[in-house]
Amino acid sequence: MGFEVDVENISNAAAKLGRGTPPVLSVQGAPNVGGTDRAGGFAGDYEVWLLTRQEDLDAARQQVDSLVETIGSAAKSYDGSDAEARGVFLKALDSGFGRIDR
Amino acid sequence: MTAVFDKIRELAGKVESGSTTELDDRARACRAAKESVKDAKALLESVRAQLSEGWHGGAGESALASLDAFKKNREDQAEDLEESAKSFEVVRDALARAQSDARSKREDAEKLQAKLDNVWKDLSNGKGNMVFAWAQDKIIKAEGLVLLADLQRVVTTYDAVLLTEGLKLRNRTGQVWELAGSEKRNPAEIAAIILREIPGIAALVAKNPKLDLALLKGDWDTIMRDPEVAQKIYDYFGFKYVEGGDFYTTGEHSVQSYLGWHDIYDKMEKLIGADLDRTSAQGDNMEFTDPKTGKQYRLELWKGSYGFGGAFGGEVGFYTRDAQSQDPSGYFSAAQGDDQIKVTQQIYDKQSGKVYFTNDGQGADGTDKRHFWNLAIRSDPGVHPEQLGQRATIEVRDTDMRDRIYHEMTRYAAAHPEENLTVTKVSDHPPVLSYDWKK
Repeated sequence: MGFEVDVENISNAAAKLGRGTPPVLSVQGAPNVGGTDRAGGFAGDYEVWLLTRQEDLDAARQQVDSLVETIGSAAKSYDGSDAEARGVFLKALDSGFGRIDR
Repeated sequence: MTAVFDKIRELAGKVESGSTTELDDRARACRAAKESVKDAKALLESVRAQLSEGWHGGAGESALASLDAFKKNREDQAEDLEESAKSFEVVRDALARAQSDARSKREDAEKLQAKLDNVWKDLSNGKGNMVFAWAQDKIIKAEGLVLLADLQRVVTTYDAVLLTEGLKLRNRTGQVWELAGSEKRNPAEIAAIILREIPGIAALVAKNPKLDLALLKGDWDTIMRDPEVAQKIYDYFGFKYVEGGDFYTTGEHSVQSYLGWHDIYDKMEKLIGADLDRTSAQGDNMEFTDPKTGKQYRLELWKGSYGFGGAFGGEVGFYTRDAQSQDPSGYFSAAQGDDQIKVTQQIYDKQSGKVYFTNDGQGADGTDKRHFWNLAIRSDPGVHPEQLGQRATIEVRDTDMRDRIYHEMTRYAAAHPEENLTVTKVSDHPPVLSYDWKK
C-alpha cells in the first residue's frame, strides 16, 4: 500500500515536469555587429552557436518527454496486487531511463 | 583630395552600423533560456526526490543515477548559456566603445575637412597665398592620416574582440555536443548537423552573384576561393591560430574528433583546396594490429599546400579501430585516452634546411600535449609545397606500441622508397621514435 503512494507521487512529479515550459532560445539571426572585416566570421560563429544550442535544448526537451512517458507507462502498468509490483515498476524506470540519450 | 576623410567616414560607418541593442537582446535571450533550464532542472529534482522516497535498495538505483546525469546536463546547459550571454555582453561593450571612438574620430575628421576647405576657400577669395595654403593642406591631411590610423586601431581592436568571442562561442559547441549526448550520436547524425551549416555558407555565397552561379554549377573551387566562405569552413572544422608559432592547428574537440577518419575524407582534399603528399601510396597505409586486443591502428602523415596554394603545412594523425568494429571498411576513430600520441612536428625546406615552424603538441587538451592529430598550417602563398620536408618525434604510451609503429613505418618506407622516409628509435624512457619524410 505504501509504495502505491510513492508511485502516485512520482507520477505527479513527472506530470508536473511534463507541464513545465520547455526552455527555448527566443532569438534567430545573427546580431548586427557592424560591417568590419570580422563581422562575417562572427555571424558564422553565431550561426553555429545558435544551431548547436537549439539542438541541445531540443535534446533536453526530448529527454523530458521520454522521462515523463517512461514514468507514465510504468505507473499505468503498476499492479498493487502483484507482490513483485514494486520491483517491476523500479526496474521499468531503470531500463527506461537508461535508454534515454544523455 | 579628400580620400583620407572619405576613408575615415567609411571605416566609422562600418562600426556605427552595428547594433548594441541586438547584442543585448542575445544576452537577454540566453539568460531567459538559462532560467527556464534551471526551472526544468528543479522539476527534475522533484522527480528524483519522489523516486528516492520510494527506493529502498535494488531496482531504482540506476534510474536515480540517470536522473542525476540529466540534472548535471541541465546545470552544464545553464552554465553554457550564462557564458554565452557574457560573450555577447563583451562584444556589446566593445562595440559601444568602438562606436564612441569612431564618432569622436569622425567629428574630428569633419572639423579637419572644414578647416581644409576654408584654407582653399580663403585662397580663392584672395586671402593668404598658395605656399601657405599648400603647407596648411599638407599639415591638415597629415593630421587626417593620424586620425585614420587611430580609427584603424579602434577597428582592429574591435575585430579582435569579435574573433575571440566568436571562437569562444563556437569552440564551446564541442562540450555542449558531448553533454547533449554526442557519445551516443552516430556519425550519420553528426554529419547531418554539419550539413545544416550549408544554409549559412549558402547565405554568404548568395551575397556574391559569381559565387551563386558557381554554386549552381557545383564549382567548389571558385566557391572556396572566396575568403569569407573559406574562413567559415576552416572555422567550422575547428582550426585555430597559434600566435607564437604563426600557424594554425586544431583542437581535440574539432568535428573530426567525432567523425574519426575515413578514406573518403582524403577524397575531399580538392574541396578544401589542398594538394598534399600522404602516406597512403597505392592504397597501402601504415596500419598494424595489437595482437593482445585485436585493435587496429593507423598512422597517417600529410604535407603540402592548403587553401588553393594560399597556405602550407603538415599533419600527423593517429586513428584506431576496435576489433569488433562494425563500421564500414576504411573507417577509423580518432585515437583516445592512452592511445593518443605526443607529437612534435616540424615543417622545413628540404633544400635550404630552413625550419618554417614546429608544432609541439599545440591543440591538445590540457597540458599533456597528447592528441590524435598534430596539425600545423601557415597562411603564406610564397612557399612551394614540393620543397617541404616533415620531421617529427612521436612519444607513445609504451615501448611495445613504439616498436609496432617503428616496424610498420620501416616496412612502409622500404616498400615505397620514393617516399624517402627514414625512421629512428630515439629512446625507451620515454618511448619515442622519430622520422624524417623528404618525399
